[in-house]
Amino acid sequence: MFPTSTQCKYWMFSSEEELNQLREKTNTKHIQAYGKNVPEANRYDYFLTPVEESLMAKRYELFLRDFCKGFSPPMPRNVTGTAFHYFKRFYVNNSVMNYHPKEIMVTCVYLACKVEEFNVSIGQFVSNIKGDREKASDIILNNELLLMEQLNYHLAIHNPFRPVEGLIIDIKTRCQSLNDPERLRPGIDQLLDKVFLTDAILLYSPSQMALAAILHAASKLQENLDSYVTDTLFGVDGRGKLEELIEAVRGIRSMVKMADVNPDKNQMKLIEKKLEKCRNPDNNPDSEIYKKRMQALLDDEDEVYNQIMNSNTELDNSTLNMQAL
Amino acid sequence: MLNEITHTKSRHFAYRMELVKNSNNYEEMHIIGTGAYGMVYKARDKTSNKMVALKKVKVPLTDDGIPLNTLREIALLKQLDVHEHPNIVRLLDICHGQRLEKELIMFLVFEHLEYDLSMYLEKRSMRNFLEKEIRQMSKEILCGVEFLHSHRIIHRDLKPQNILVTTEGRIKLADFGLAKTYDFDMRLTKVVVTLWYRAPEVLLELSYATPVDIWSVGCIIAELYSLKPLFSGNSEVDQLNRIFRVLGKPLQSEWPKENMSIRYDSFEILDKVDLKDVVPNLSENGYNLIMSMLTFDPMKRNCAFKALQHDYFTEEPLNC
Ligand SMILES: Nc1ncnc2c1ncn2[C@@H]1O[C@H](COP(=O)(O)OP(=O)(O)OP(=O)(O)O)[C@@H](O)[C@H]1O
Ligand SMILES: [Mg+2]
Repeated sequence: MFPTSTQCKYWMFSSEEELNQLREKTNTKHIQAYGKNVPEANRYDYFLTPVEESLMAKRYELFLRDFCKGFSPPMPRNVTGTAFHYFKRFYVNNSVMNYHPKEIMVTCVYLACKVEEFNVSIGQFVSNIKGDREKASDIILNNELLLMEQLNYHLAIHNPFRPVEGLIIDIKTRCQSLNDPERLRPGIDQLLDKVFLTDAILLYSPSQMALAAILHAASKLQENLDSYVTDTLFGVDGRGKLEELIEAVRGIRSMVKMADVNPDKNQMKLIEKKLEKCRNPDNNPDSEIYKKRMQALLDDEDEVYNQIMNSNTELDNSTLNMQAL
Repeated sequence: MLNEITHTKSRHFAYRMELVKNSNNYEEMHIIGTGAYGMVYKARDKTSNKMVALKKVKVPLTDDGIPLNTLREIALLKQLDVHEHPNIVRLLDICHGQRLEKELIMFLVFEHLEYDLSMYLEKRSMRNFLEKEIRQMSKEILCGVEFLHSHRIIHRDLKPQNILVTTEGRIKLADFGLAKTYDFDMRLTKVVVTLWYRAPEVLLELSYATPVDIWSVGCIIAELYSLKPLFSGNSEVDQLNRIFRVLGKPLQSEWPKENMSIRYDSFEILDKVDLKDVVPNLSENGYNLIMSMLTFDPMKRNCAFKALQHDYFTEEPLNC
């Protein structure tokens, strides 16, 4: 199934370098579009750097995790997993300066609930959000389509949870040397919790992540599953693939180790502030431009609407919202 | 942190916005098809200059946004396309048009094919197809159906208008998924849905599954030979009447027990005809294949996978 999925065909990248290059390109493109008049040397005084963008994304990934954990009614983990995939995919090709991650994050979770058939109404959903719920639900419903489009309508996600179950059953039947494989669970969950905070989900297949989780759990119990993997799981025919798999498992585990490094709180606050200033007002529900446009739409004043849209284009072409400089 | 999402109070704002790029990448040329649920336009992809077919569908919006069914179907269509099956029309893109309070217009962008099978048949009404052409087309239709069924998709509306044909005579199935699950209200036009390819269980409004497609294929293969629809009824009862004329009326014991609006005794078949008389030039194997697809009882009907293994497809064609 996975080899013929949209995930495998369109959303698996070759390396972290490739991903970072794509994100840098996204960053540059945004700045070129919105900061034409900013001198090259000063652009990052105002705009976020690619590293700052990544830090912001990471910050909201942590929020995403906590939001899902605290969700009521309790959320199945494949919903969380799917939301993570959406969020990460979205920010490969979109700048956090264009679409604020706090808004995209909840939209990802909302869309994931639907696709994974975890039935919650929008009302139930936003009751998990503090603050103005009506506004939150408007933001989510307005962003839903944008998100789908940016995902290229590739909505079906393959998470590692099912392959994990498959492997556990297989270990129970074919790996007698390990007593009570259920003991692996805490270690597995520990790795899977973290793997979603890394780029691994854009680089490795669900079954590779599942195996990494199993091996991580085994090594925590000081059990050795090497011969199960090399002899039972792969057998003689699979030798060629084994190499690749070991490399993948190693890669996943080292990325997961890195996931523990939390960004500095004060630094994050500064970046948040910077983003508040440089985020695209067109897509900021609190900006004047946005409010005017909404008002115009509500009043069905096409003319006003067009005027605002046109003056917007001019703004885009000059230096948008540059008062901060 | 989540109060940050809503940290400024502002008045309730409009539930519609054009935040995202829309179908402007395509230049509409003219309407090529009007079905019950959608309009299909021929259009030019401005970037690649290629011709595409834009299918406009109306998606109902609920309080919860885009309906779950639509999401799942879109995901499925995208997923299917990864296989690039030779007998399924390519879905190139999806984009959306206007978003209104209660509905959203979406465009499904397909590769453009020269004909649909009904046009292709019309074009040929003067000269019959060669036996080997018919076999090839039948096989490709069944291959497409087999692919859909193996992915647990029921087409539900197989008919010549929904089967596309390239200039080289290759077959590609179209018009499955999405628009099909919507109810009457979501129709864009008043086009009457044809009954001619409907299986008895559909006409009788019973529950149905993949066999309904096999029935349709049976009707279509027959039509490839005779160049006219096998059963062209103008109401459910009339359609069943025509079916029973050829197949014979089912036994009372075969008649479904479920709550029925159409009663067993409303049919009296006096002028029974044989499929061989309605469809001339049929080989014995061709006859057997079609009959295996046209059983009243869906459980006894052939399936796509087995049908493809029928001797009909391997025997030396008789008259070509
Ligand atoms: N990719 C295509 N290339 C060329 N013509 C097409 C294409 N797709 C559709 N058409 C034409 O448009 C017609 C209607 O298309 P389609 O069957 O997809 O829409 P529909 O409105 O859903 O019809 P239905 O009444 O069956 O629901 C087809 O019968 C065919 O003639
Ligand atoms: Mg059609």
